Amino acid sequence: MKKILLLAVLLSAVLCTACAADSINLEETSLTLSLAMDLDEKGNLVVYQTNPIFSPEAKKKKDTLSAYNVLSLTQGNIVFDAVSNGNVVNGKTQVVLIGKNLLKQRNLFPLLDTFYRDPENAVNARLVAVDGAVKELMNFDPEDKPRLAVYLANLIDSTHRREQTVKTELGRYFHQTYEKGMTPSITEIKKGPEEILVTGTALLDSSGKYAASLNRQESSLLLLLQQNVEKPVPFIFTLSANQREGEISVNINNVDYKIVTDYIGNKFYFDIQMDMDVFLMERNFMINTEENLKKLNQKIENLLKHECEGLIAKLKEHQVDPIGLGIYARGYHYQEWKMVEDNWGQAFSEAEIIVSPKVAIQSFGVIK
Amino acid sequence: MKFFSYLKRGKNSLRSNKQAAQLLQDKISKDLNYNLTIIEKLFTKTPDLIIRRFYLNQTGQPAALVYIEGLTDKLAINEHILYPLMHEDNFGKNTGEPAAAIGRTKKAVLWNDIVNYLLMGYSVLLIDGRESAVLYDTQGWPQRAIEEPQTESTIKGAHQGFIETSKQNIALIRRYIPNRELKMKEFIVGRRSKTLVTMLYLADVAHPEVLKEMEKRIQRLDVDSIINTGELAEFIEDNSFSIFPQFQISERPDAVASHILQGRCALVVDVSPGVLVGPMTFTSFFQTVDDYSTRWISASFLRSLRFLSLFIALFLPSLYIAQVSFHYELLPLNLIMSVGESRVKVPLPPIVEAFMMEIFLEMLRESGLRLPTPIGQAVGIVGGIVIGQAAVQAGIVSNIMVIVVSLTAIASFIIPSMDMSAAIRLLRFPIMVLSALLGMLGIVLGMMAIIAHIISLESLKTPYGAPFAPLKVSDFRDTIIRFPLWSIDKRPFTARPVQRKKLNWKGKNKKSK
Amino acid sequence: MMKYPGNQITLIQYIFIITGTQVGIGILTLPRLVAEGAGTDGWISILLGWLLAVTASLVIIQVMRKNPTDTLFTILRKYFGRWLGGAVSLAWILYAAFAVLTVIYSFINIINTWLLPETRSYIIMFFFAYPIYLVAAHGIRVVGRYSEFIFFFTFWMPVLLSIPVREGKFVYLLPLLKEGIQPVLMTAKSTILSFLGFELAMIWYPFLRNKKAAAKGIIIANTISLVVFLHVTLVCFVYFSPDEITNYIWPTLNIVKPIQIPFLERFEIMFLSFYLFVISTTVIPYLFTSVYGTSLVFGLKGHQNPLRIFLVVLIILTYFLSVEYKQVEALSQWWGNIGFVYAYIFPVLLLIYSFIFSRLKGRKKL
Repeated sequence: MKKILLLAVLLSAVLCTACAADSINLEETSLTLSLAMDLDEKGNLVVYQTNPIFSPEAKKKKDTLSAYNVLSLTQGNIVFDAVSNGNVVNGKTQVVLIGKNLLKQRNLFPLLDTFYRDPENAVNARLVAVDGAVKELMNFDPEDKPRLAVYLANLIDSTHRREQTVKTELGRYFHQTYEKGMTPSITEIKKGPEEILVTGTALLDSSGKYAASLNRQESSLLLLLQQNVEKPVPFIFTLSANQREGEISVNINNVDYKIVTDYIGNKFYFDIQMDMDVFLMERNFMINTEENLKKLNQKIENLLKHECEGLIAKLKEHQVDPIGLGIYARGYHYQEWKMVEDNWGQAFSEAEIIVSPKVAIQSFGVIK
Repeated sequence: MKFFSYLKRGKNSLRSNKQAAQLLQDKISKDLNYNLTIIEKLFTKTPDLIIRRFYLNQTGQPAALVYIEGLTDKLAINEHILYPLMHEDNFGKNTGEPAAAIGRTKKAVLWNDIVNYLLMGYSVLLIDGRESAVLYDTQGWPQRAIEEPQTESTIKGAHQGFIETSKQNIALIRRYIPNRELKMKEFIVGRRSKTLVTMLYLADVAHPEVLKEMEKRIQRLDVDSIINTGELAEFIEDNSFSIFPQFQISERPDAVASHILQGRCALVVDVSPGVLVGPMTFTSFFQTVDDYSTRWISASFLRSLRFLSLFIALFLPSLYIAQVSFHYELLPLNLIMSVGESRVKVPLPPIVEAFMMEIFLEMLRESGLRLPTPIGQAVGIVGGIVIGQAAVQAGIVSNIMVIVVSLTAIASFIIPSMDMSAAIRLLRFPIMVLSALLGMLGIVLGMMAIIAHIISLESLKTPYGAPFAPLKVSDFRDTIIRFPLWSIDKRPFTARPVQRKKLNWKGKNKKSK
Repeated sequence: MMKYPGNQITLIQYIFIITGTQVGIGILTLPRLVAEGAGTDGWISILLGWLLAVTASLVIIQVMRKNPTDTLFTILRKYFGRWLGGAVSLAWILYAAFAVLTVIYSFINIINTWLLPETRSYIIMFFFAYPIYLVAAHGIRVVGRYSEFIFFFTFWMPVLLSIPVREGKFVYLLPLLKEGIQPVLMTAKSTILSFLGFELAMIWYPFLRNKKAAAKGIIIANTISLVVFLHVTLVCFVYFSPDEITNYIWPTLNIVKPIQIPFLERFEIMFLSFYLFVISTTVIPYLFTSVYGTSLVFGLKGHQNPLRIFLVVLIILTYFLSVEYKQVEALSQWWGNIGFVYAYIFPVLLLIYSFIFSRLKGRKKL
């Protein structure tokens, strides 16, 4: 017994020399919090990266920023490793920023491969398109804001909570790319003179390149059509141009969807039926809301339908389907879908899509 | 040899122990003087042995009363034995026995019995011409008053604790269970200490197999002495290599009584205030008597709190290590930042940092334990505040580590049983090592080893892991959550009672029959 | 009747041992496997696999019912005599050992891929050996208790898996039987590996206290496994697009990865670590079968010594032999094929033989 015990102790001692091979202490890492990719003037790939500074001795800045011309993200990591005072790890990346230039010229998906291949890397990083120069944005370090990555993450999250832009994490982007009945859509931001603002949504086509941009109101519509609404969606409608009937703000909530699909005469037919509750938030003209409820209902319904179909027309024009109607085409008309599945964008642009919202004003607040 | 023996045992002593042993098997003789010389020979160098010679008043026979001073009740001897015998006509009318006013008397013939009883505090009456001695129970040694046990204080329960005399302790238990079925079995354990061990159980509830097993284990014992219940527990437990206590040792009569009522059996050890209870399960160490005197909802909350604290005490430092040195991804970003900022000043690897602080904490606890209360408190302040604060400022440990260590400490103090708490405090060290080697996987491996061990452990052949493994759903009414008492109508399976049902609740009865 | 006094298992333990054995390494890859074969109709294949497993299980119970106090190994000796029976027993021992090896190597491979890329496999094996020794050394009773406990202890894992359903689309499951019934039937074969484990009922049966419920128990066990498999598969199918899911080698882990709660992220780390418990309930029954069989066949006193030797061999093996993903895949494919013979064909043959045997024996008596 004693001998066995001794043997076990010795054995474990020998074993333990090889132990803890994977341990890396938090303070020895260099956490990549935000990552950005863009093309420089010559068309070469530039990778930017910010890392938090833990050390109390370095008081000047919140982050270190580095930028290099590289061929891929992995190479970027290697280069970053060579310059940073810790091992670069990507497990906590908050935002991945992509310059619009890059989006226009190259397919984004293969560039992000390492995020999916290496299981250590974060898949919850928010994928963001940047309108304008990425370099300028990455250098942005306002004193009244937290570090850039946290700032951007909060910015996108809060805007998304207001249903003003899509929020596409890397994992969802993978999903949207591989799904044949859908094209990716990602958040779009812009560096203003004093601040960063979310401008809306960037739409990518099936080849992973930039196709079009949506502004914030259109993004809300997109979220509505994507059935991706969790919180009330604010909308501002201009009832008519004259002074007597001006703008009206509403919150749309509790939407029930029914998507009717059909295949008639070599093209798909979709009827997106939405049954929604509306909460009146503001009206900047004089009207007795209680008496004119029906009229308002009708007007909002028409405006919403009009705007949705405007959006769809725009999508059709660019042959992108961020709504994911292709999924319904596959679900209900599999044989027909099979014929167009590799070219859904075109089939989508030829399809007939009707949006029929049904609005019921549930509340107009505490005053009439 | 002889010289040493002389030195050690005195002039009149018997030559050797062997001789004495032989003598002890003999009967006493009729001759009082001869008997007394033998006693003197057996008890050389024993100044507390008192031999009082006198003549019986009635018959005029020479007699002697022998007892050990200090173990006996002086008052009883003087007033109820010596006085009547010396001054009254007091031989029993029919029995012809000297009738002292003592309740418990015995007759003894063998020297062995006489010596044993003498050492237990009996008084021995030897009368010239008689071949037997009369033993009077005059036990009365110094003992402390009944007070609340310090380690198991309760807020709402009874404030009584066991003392060092088993007779009293049994009486305390019997006050809770005035029932004919409360049976006792006495054992004398220890060749030299001759400790009286009494097994208490409810004859119609306790499982015969459990009793038999307990009896077998006590009878198998062949030791020199038993000073403490803890010693006894170690001799009779199922697996002495286990870190977990397999018997509960309680100083509370109400706790022991409630265990006996569940069907467990208790061992009262003379000279020790701890009463051993078995069979126990892992979860029963997380219950207190107080649980039944507080409202069931708050009692359930407290119990869940104890199980939560079990996990915190076991795993929190290792989770910290795993998080800092393996899985930085686990926590949300803001938390990571604060951990990282506090870690960056610390020059030690997390495992060393954690070990240092945990060991320091154990030292602090141990040093405060044996000090008088005011100094103990001072030690607590010095350790907790001064060293903790200073260590952080000096950059030896991180803020978060101090929080982790204090949380672990608090959590480990919540566990009501001292033995269990000690086991858990000790177990967290190997888990810390494992987590430093393999991260989260190491923690899980440690957890698995603990679970496997608990499940394979048995207490008196009763599964230690019950009611979880084997699963006993009915026992869950009184495990993590304490249901209202009327719904706990069965004794726990884990006590292996023969009679499961323990109450009839009218509201329930209607439903079932 | 009391051939194994004090070493009996309850019906619940019997059920959970079998379920525990079945739910193991399979559920990480099962959604991909069936999606590769039958697309989003793969879950129907799992149902078919269940049907097959239940049938085979019932055959096993039929065989065992004839010899209520015998384990597989003693039955083999009874039916085939010492040498032939011994040979078949040895084949079973090797099969169980192979299963242990496959599961452990698969798990270590996953750990090396997802969690600890640099850690050598023998280190994991070394620390894993101790708990499984503790359980297996104490015999069937403790194995039963362990499986029982772990089932409830790991109950949160499938619950955790349901969180992503919120973001899923049930349209992905449509249309049903899109490519016809053919691929669904073909895929049922690949679910066989997942249901393997019920064949060990041949070892547990004699220890079962309430033998009348054996058939019921094994059906319940298979059904619990089915529910788990279906749950995991459907969640993956609903969350991932059918075009996407076949890209993930371990889709179940990919589904856990994005889950976040306010104080904890990256659930795959927790999930995978705790998955070790699930693995252990697969490893321990096979390990026990293997060493228990060894002790019976070679007439050893207890199964502890073979167990020790086996575990030491395992550690040494993992030291010298590291396995890559492709090899692991091959291992589990072999296991699936061999398992098919052992779990599905063997019981049927044994049942037929037992009829013949009892007829022969009956004649002899006359």
